[in-house]
Amino acid sequence: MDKKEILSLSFKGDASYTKIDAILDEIYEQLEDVESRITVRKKVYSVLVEILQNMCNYAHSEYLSGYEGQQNEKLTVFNVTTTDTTYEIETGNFISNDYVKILKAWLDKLATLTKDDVSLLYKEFLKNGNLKPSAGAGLGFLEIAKKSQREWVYAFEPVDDEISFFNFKVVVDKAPKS
Amino acid sequence: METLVIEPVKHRIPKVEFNPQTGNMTLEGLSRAENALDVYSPVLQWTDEYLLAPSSQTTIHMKIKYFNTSSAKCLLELMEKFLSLASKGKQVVINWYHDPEDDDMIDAGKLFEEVLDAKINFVPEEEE
Repeated sequence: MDKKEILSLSFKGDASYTKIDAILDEIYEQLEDVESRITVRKKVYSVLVEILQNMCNYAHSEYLSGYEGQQNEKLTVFNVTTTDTTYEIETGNFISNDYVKILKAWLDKLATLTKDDVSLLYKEFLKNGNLKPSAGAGLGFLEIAKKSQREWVYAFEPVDDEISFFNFKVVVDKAPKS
Repeated sequence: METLVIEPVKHRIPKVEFNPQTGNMTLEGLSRAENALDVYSPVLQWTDEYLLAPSSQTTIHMKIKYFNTSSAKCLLELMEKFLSLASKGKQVVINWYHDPEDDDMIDAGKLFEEVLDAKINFVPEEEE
């Protein structure tokens, strides 16, 4: 199936909230141009917001402001492609090795849940969660699980003793109800 | 008590207009702040004060077209605060405006209804 790239960005250093905010503004407007169905557009946008805001939350702080090492070329990357039936979103960024275990355990757990389980857990998080941004990006990934197909692809590639490169790929179906 | 007005930031922060005299509380636009508590703290504070001397009827006009998970928690907290007035004999109404084709916002409203254990009026509105 033909794939068409509709959004592609990769940037070195400064994956700041300001930068992410500007990118999300642009994405909102671009999606309005390329996707006429509001339900599909909102699903893709929700997934992108949570992924990119999470990325800022858990990106290794030292590498948020720039990394001069050999991995410089792919400090933070993300792109969105589309086929006839799907949107595919792929992201990559550095995270600390301490966080790899937490994140991997959470993603592994989410992968075993059904859509109904995800909805229940999301509701529990809303009922019981406090207002502080949750360490571990728990609710964000639940939202992504609600809005996307469940066959996530993710990998953690160790860079050194401190950091790994986190790759995450998620697919959103174009069928309005899925 | 003065009307609370927060001007919107396009795609990021909704317009907020809470009138303590009429009891009409309107939220309109997109709510996408990464740390939504920064945005909603003054709104929650204002609401705490309003609860001390509320109007006989409070109507929440929820005209938000999209909110992220960070905002969801704050919006729930806000509605919980207003709904607490019901136990003091005051009337509280939540109107949830949505594009008729926007299943995402309809589902979000139903989820709020469940979590809050309160009735929400769904008001379909064509996008301008």
